[in-house]
Amino acid sequence: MSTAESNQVIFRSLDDLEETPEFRQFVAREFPEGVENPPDGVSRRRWIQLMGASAVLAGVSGCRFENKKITPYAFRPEDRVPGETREFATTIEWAGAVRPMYVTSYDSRPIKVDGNPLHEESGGSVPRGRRAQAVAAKGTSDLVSQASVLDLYDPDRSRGCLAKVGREFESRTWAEFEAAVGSLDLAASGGEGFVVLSEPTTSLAVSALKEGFAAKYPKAKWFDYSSVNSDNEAAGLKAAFGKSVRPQFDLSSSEVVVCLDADPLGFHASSLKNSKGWAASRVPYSARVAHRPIARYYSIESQFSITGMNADHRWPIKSSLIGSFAECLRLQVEKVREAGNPIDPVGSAEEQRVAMLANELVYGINDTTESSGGNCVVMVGANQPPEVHQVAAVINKLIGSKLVSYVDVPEATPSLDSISEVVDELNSGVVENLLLIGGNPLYDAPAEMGFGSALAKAKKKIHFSMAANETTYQCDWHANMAHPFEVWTDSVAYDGSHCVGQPMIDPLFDSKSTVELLAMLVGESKTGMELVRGAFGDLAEAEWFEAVHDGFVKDSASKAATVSQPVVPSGLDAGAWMAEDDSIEVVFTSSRLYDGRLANNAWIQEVPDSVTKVTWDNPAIVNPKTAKALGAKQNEKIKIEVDGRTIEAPVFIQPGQAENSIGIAIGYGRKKVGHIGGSIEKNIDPVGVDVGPIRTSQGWGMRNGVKATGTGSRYRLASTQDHHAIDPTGKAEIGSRWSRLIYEGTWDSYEEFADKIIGGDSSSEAAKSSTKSYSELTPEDEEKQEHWPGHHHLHFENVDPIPREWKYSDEFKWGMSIDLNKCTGCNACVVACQAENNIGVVGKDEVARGRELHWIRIDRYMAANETYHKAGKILEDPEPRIRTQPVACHHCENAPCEQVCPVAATVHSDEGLNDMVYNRCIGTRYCGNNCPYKVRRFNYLNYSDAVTFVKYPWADKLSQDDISVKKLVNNPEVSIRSRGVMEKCSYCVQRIQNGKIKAKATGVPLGGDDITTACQDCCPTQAITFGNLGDKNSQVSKNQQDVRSYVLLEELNIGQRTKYMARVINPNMKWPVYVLGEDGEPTFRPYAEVFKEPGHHGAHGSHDGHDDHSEEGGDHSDDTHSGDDHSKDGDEKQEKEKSK
Amino acid sequence: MATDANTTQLDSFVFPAWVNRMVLLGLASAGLIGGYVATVGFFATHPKVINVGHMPEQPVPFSHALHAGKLKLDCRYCHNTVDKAAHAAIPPTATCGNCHGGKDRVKEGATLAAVHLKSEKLTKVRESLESGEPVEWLRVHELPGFVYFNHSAHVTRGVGCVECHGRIDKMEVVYQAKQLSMKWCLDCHRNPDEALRPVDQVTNLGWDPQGEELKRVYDEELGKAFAHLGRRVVGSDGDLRLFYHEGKAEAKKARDFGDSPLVNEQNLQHVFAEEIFGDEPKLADADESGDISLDEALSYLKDYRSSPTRKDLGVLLKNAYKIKPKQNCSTCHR
Repeated sequence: MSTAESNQVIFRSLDDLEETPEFRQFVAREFPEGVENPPDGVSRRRWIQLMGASAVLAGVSGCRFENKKITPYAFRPEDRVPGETREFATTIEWAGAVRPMYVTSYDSRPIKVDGNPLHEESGGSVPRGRRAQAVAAKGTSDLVSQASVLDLYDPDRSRGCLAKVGREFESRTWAEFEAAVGSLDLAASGGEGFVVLSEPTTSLAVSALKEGFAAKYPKAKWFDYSSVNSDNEAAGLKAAFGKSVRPQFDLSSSEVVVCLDADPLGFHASSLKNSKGWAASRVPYSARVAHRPIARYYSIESQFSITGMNADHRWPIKSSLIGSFAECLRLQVEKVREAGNPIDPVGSAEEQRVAMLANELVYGINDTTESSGGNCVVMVGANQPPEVHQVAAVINKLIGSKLVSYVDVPEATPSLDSISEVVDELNSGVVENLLLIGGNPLYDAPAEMGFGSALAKAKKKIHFSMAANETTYQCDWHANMAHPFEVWTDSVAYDGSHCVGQPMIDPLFDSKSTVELLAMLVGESKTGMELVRGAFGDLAEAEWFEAVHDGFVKDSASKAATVSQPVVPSGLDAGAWMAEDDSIEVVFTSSRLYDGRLANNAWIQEVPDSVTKVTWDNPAIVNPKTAKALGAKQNEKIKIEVDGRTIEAPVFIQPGQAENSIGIAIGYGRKKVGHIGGSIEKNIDPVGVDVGPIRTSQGWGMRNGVKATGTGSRYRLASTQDHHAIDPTGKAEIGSRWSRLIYEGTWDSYEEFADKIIGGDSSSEAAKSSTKSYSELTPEDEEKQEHWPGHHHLHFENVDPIPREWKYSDEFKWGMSIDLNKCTGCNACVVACQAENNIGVVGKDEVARGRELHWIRIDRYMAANETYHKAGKILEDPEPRIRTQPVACHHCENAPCEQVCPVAATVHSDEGLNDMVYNRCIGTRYCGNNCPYKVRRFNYLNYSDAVTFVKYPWADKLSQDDISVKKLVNNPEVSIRSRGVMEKCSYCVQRIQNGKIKAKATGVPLGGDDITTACQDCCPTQAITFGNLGDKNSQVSKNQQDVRSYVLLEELNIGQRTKYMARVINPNMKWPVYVLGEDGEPTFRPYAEVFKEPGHHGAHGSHDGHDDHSEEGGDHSDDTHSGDDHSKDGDEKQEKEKSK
Repeated sequence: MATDANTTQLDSFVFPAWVNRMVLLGLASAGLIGGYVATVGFFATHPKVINVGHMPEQPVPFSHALHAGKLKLDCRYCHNTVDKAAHAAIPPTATCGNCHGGKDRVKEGATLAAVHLKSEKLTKVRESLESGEPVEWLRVHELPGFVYFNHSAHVTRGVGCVECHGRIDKMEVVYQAKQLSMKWCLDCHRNPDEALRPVDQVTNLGWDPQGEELKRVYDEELGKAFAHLGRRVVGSDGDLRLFYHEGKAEAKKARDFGDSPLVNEQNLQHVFAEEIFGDEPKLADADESGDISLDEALSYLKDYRSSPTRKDLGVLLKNAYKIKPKQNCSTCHR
């Protein structure tokens, strides 16, 4: 994988390691065996009937024109141009988590979500190159925001209110619902026996209505509950500071960040802001200009998180021991503070590591006694108990961290306390009427509380939700809640700013917002908009319009609160984490499905998990060693038992998982959600496993000491980890060539390299006076083509990648640059691409066949230490690393796919795009077979149109009406592909063409950065840059000129338009790393000794002898070593360096 | 003898000679039938046959012949997004209501009479204005779903409405006049010269200048082309300017801004090239301020026609509007 650290072995999966036939097949064959088989389910007889009928119909309908209607506006609003998109700022809130958004609407139909470019919590104000006014900048977004638009057009949403008659639901109108609520006479005796269980909301409009509610129903009780919450953090910080506060992190100037089970880049309420900060802290050139190193991240966690994949050092420790570890770290930091200088690390690897962490937290990365300046921080994950958050607050105070500040937040009862009180109320039998606002407590309430039986004791139960879920079916009434894109809402974002959510479409079905429902209950006659506006106080008309336009009230973010000296928690044992511990823990990890509410969202279900690459499932993730101990193999189920309740879940063996730790995501296994997520009524299996039965309030985030056993029963997981594996030409070459897929080097070597180019080290006068701007660190001598880390651009004499008769446009040359230093593998781009380009969802069975259609895939490689590999114990490396690499169409100038298409369905444009003409494609799939990047996808079935004779998961479960609802999400600018057609990344050609047309019409020339792709827009770290290579000042031109820029599989010499930028890591060179000693026992050695760095001095030895690259592959001799003699090779190179 | 015996024995297994003719005949008739089916199939499904002439009956009998033809309403009065967006946009009922809305309106001091207040034909329009529900028009021109077409890209570059829609101003009921097939699109994109007209004439469906009139337009457009592309020619030995003056293209030195034209129609190119720039003109690239290079200026003058045809005008406009008729696949298929 990396040239900088060659002493490691790279693999994609266990199958890859074992060279199983399945894996070889994915490497060798673009389309695996059996991929062409028709799906089962329809008999041949039925098929012929249907085909016959459709042939006749086609014959008849082909002869006459279908009369299609055009319905223009009766009164078209001013400035509204039919067929032009418009963008609106809005906000959605899921159980208290607020996401500022910027929604693209096509003819009043929201079709695409991006982050609000003005709001910090959605990556706002990211420097995004020079952008013309004509093109609206977008903020960043994560995959759940991207997918939220699909929920709006979910055909399983309720069409109106429902009333239970007998055992069945019958549909009712809102008027009938209101009458029914009126007849309950809730206000009688002051609301005695009336209980409301709502999901928490930050809405000020709702709080205002709650006051009216309390006045009208003084004896009614109101509880807030959500299974996903940050109550532990709130409780910990309250214990530390004596008041309710919320931390605000600013990672942009970070130096050392220690994450204790925390995932600031992945599942975090402020992940977009964190991601932006993380990326900023690791930009090598700006770090050097500022004379500081790039940030160093430590991840101490049980299960690989997105942050863990990207950390410089990841240290797997059981989640239940992290509290003890934190206490140990606190004591060490105190020691360092008392000593007044760094303490030399001694003792075992663990002790040394803790000592190093403490030293760095206080004094920063460099081994000086100069203080870090407060640019270090400790972060703790939401799963950890309150004491751990408290300890972190103490450490952060001790080290004087400037990266964390606190804002005051209103006092709130913890969710688990609320739900327990509700259950008590229900069980005592005093509850006459229960109103549930949102949520699904029957599914996600703590197992031991018996919410289901308690619920039955309420006399009348009303559930207000977007769709009928598990809880709804146990209620008497269902009131239909509107999607946030349909109604006026308000909310308070993580940073305290007051956000507006505006409707962009009238409610599709008969539904209302929470505000409107409460207004009805309180007897308020104002409309939803008036009430929401009322919550903003006395905003003048202009200010209100500005707030609606921007999506939030300017400068309304909370100011940092003053906090007292944090109180040190008691009861944590600083030694426990180092003791022997054989007990098994289960950790309930954050989920893409949130608390299960996104279970019916096919886009999210189908995205491969960042780490495991599993789709449509939540496997129990275990370490190989633990799996062996449990007696479970990959794709087998294990049984997990907690307090006598059990679940069975399929095992996924993930090297790097902490020993004796089982990680399993929440939100899966729902039984009544719809045609995607599972539905008992419609006979659709649930997706994944419901962890509810073993999730108790005692072990809400994690539970230690559970019983787990292998069951031996098989279960098929649909993992894409081996699909579309890039084959570097055969096994013999693997050792040398895999190292060329992802380039990586250390910060030290980068700095040295940069010094050489600029002349003198960064602080020297020469560097300061150098005319060469560091931000444009391009090879000084183009001839030498010198690049970092230690690779050269290959020369191909007399081999011209571009056909000579071909003439490229001078005006536009589209290209892309992907900065691997910034890519976190978060998957947002995958879903953004899906939303923009109408990419079909294929379902679990089809994914298992290798038929997924995502245009971008994120390749994920694992790297293990070579000593383990040599001993044949590669899976025993306790600390393998993960690297990610997004791969989409490279738009090669001499594209191999184009040469083999018999019908010219894929052809080259003069702007360098590899065009795909769907209506010409006859589906030979030659192109897919000839693509070295394996980025072409074939529509085996009519995935876009669920009405098909083929049975695939939900094909026959949807009515025509439902399908027309589903189709509303499609982007009209992009063709819908049908069966038998190839498709692939088009560089968002529709955006390019529209940009060009707009530029011509307005006369404003198109800037090099003006057109953005969907993946680029959403990327939380701005790792993707797209633009015009013909404009030398465009960001993409600059990025492709950078010394870190390289071409994937450059030896093919096909003029790839997408280039990557090498990753810079900043490891601690003294960090003890586990290796397998000669005696076969694990031992540890400093990082620098384990991972040699041939990347130094732009090396691979010298530049001599590199001009005679052979034409076949441009390979040079010292690169063709096999994987086994890496270390020897490295030594040789170092000697070579010395002799120079 | 043996041979004879063999022959006789085999004869019973061999088809008689006349069968050969039958085979030929059979093949020929199969070929003929196949050919017939193919020919009929080809012509029956030709876009000219199945596309052209589609004329659905609209819910409101709106006459383009009356409004666009006789009353000479500009197309863009109703289809007002045609030069701004992909869609030409069927007008909202409110546009009809401007004249048929039911009451007299005063606009800019003049009273506009309400027209045909009682006409039965306008019932649906009045209903729509009353209720806010749209009139459900029927689609006449339709491209397949996999084809992208943008009106603004064409009408702002001098492709007249008439080129694709025919003489709408003579149609009582609108029908599809052209094939709208891919070949038909490409015919024009490969050879667009005769389909181009000055942008201010795109909605003038009957526009067809001949002789002197064509020459007047040509000269005018030549002048505008210079104006459009920028006036200063860089790379000259002085600060030479090209400008448009009374319908004639002229070139003058900025410092010699008198009345007498240095260049006239007859010796435009000659004078331009030799007298003004000398024998070896210095060339330079156009810079960003809208100036044009000497090369570009010369290219206009070189092609100057004293008695232009529509094609000559088209060539001129193609350059002036920077039209790139040859497009990539992804322009229409995305």
